[in-house]
Amino acid sequence: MTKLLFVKLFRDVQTIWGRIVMMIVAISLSLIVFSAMLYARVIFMSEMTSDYSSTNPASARITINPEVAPDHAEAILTAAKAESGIIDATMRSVLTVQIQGKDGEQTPLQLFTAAPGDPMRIANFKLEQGSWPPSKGGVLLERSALEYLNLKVGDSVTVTGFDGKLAQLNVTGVVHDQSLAPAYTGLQGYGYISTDSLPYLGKQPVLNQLIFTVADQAGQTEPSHDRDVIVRTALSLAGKLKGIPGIKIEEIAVPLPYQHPHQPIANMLLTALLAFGGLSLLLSAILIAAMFNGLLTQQIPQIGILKAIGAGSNRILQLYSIMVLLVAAAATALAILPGIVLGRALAQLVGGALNMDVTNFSVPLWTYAFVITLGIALPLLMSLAPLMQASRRTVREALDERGVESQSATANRFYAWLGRLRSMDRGFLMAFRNVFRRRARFLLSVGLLATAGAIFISGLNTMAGLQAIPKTLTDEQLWDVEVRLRAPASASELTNIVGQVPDAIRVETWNTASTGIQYPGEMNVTRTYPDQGHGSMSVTAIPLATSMFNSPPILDGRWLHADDVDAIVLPQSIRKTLPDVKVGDHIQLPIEGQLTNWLVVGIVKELAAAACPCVTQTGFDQATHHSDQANLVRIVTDRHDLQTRIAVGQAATQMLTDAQISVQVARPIDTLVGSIEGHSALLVVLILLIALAIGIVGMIGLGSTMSTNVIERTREFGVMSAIGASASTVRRLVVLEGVFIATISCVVAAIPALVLTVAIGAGLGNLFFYAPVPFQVSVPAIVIWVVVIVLGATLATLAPAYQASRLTVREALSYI
Amino acid sequence: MNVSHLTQKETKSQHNETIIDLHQVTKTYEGPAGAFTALKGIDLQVRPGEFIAVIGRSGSGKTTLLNLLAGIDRLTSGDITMAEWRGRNVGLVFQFFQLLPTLTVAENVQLPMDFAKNIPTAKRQSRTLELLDRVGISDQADKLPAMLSGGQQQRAAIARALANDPPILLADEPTGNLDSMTSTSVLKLFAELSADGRTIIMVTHEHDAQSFTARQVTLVDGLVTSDAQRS
Repeated sequence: MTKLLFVKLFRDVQTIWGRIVMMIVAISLSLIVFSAMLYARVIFMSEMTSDYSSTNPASARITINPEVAPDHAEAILTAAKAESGIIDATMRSVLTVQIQGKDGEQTPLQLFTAAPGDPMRIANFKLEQGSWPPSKGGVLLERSALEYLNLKVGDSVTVTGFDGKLAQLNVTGVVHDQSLAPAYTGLQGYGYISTDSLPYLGKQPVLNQLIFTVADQAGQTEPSHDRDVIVRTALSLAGKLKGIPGIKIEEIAVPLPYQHPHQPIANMLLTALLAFGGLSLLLSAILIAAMFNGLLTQQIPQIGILKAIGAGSNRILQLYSIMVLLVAAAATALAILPGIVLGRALAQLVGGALNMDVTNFSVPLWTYAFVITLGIALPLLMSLAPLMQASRRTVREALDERGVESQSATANRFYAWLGRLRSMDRGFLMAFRNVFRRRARFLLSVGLLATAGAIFISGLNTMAGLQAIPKTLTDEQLWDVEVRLRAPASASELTNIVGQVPDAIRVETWNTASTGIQYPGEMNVTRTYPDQGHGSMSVTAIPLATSMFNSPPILDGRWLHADDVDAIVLPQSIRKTLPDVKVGDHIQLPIEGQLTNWLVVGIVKELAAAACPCVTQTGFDQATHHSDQANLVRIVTDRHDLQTRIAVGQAATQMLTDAQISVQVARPIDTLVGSIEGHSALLVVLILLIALAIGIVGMIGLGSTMSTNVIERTREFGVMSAIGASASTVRRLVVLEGVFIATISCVVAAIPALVLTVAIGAGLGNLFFYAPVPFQVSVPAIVIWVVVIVLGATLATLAPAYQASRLTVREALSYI
Repeated sequence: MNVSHLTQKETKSQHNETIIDLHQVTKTYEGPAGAFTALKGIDLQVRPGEFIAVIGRSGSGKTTLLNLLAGIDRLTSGDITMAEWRGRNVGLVFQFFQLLPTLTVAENVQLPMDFAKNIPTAKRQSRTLELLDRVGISDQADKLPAMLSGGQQQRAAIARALANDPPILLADEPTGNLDSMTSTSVLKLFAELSADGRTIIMVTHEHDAQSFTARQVTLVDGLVTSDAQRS
């Protein structure tokens, strides 16, 4: 490169600085989005693991029966600490009471209970206010629950105790437990009490869970990463505990070690965002190709001159490659800091949404290197084809450049036919023909807008799909209120009692039971987390003649038949724990302490709050040796609004309590729906923001393309003016071309948008639900995009069109 | 078909011999409407120092002939023997000047020297000013082409064409975009350069231009119909 060529490059950039700036902004924006997603993912996934580990979660929990007082747990703890591989052990409980709201609504409060002298080494929390243990009758609330329940330290909460009587708990402090999901996602509060407070709630000060940490080998102090090791140790200990007189083992829970309960959702969220970030980068890549194609087209006559005075193709390639490099470097430099800032903010946002504090924002150097390499290499790569093409033009071709490519005979015949139509406006025809005058530019412009449109629409389609998931629940579950009992009761008695509740028009009794997949050699071992929700599985017995349940869509096999006794239908999410399960397999489920055998007859699709695994009521009764028993009452109410549902739930609870039947919780179906919506809310918002960024990049590309279109045809507009075209005619022509391109791009985007929607829905859905997200087409998204693009095309072309129409004929004709 | 090149030394040494030799040169273009033959077996010999006008109507093939000589285009068949083109031994002057708009007049003139590297770096700037002075626009050296008149731009283009001291100048309608007075002054400049010993081939359709040239070659429909020395 000679010094003069650098001078030419610099001055060329100066003359087109507006478009250069647009290009830099577009590339930078896409790179910021992508890098932010990448940094957020790297930061958060690392923090999630370390934050979760900092709570020293229990490797396993053994639930025993009966419950024991802390000072009588010596034998159990001794057995635990003597077991090879166990690092530490203690006794705990997890209980649930109902907070009584002012308007009568009930909110579950999950209480993590420990002995007052528990050193809180295992499954600990960060104390933010107050002290451990709280005073008698006091509770430390998890900070997300404090916010969710709208409480503060010093407040009192009224709860229904275990004896059915109302009791007061005083909020004496705040903790942060990073092993728990935020309260709003589970629609319940979390509190921490000592056994000293249990009598205030109508319960003996007893505990029923032995929790412990397990190392790979005896003598080691770091908890194991190997679930098999933990399961073997837990089973061995459980065997020994059975030897203690009076002790029965209810459940052995071994969740996946070092994996936060919300790790899958965090993974899905951040993977989805990274995928969209990648798509925005793809879009900017096409934008670069389109903009450089336009830029180089304008430079063609000058390329001809340079070659005519002795420059070779390589020198031309070098010259414009440096221009690309400068633009790429500037864009990358601009994107570095905002990407880091946004990435950190996003990591904190995700952390906040998942109840985690992100404090360490360091990322490995490879991420910075990757982003920088991408920022520099992608524009160079994408502009390589137009650069090579431009540099290889012969002098004659370059100097003879008139801005129109030759058309095929078919195209010429088509235009000739159009021209013969009497009603055809010549300006309209000219605008239509001009759209196709440069095939490469047309394809790139349409490709750019169509890609942007496909990404935008598919993003909002995916959002609509996520928002449709709660509806899959209400399509399946046709009840208004469900009342869960603490223990099974007579089904006929329950029906009689609840049937008298005002506004309850239909009542059914059901059975559900906690269970877990029985792996060979893993008796009664589940993967349930301490919150009793994540990782848990319940089997549901479907009543023979239910009107409150529609069977979910069948993926494989069949639904239950009325005469089925040992048939079971599994949800597709079972593949998380049993990847190879298929129809015809036999599985074992521990139910109420007994091992039961089932034949898999079907696999169904349930995306939200899966009811299945499902068996028939007959099969359940036979397996558990019960009859006329139920632990769940479902009610259809007269009116289906939330107030009615809450009122009916309260009335049913009161009537059952009066009949000495203990109620665990009564909840409207709105609670379930709200929980599902809470899980996807953040993803929905973030997809919207990315879609917005993509829209902006698309608009920049369109503006640049249209302004290039106009500038290179300045002489042509001069000729038109010389033969009588008014300024408004010229403007109209230019605007029409922009609208044509925009309209064609909308049509072209249709199929890719649908394909992308299916792909993203399948990718996200399979990652989290083991089934695709419902396919939804967001009509508002399509309308918004079409309107924005056509309007945007009009606006983007108005400025250059106005400029073109303002030139005098002499100025236009003398333009080179 | 064959295009062979002479070195600059060989070119300058062949004072009385042919500096450009065309033998049965044919150029055919393929287009949507079919093949079009712009030159049909042209034979032409040019001696060093000649100032030749190639005249003909539109479509006669005169610009095609010039493009082939300049190396801008490739012939379909035949032979051309001449000095190596493009910047080193052949200078090109176009009808529409074709100056680079973002470089000053002086920078436009100096650029071919940077490409060819014939002129030592230390001498390029002074040579540029000499050339601009030779064509009478040294006071416009630091201006951008858009600030010059048509005649001044064409003079700058001529100075650029002379940058590497080429023995051959090819000019395609150099006065086509100029008024008559400016045209005359440009043609006089060409005549002076020819008197200095340069070989100049100028495509033109203006009869006034022919009065400055020693030889006129007339093309009609791709064929040489007349090749006359002016007495």
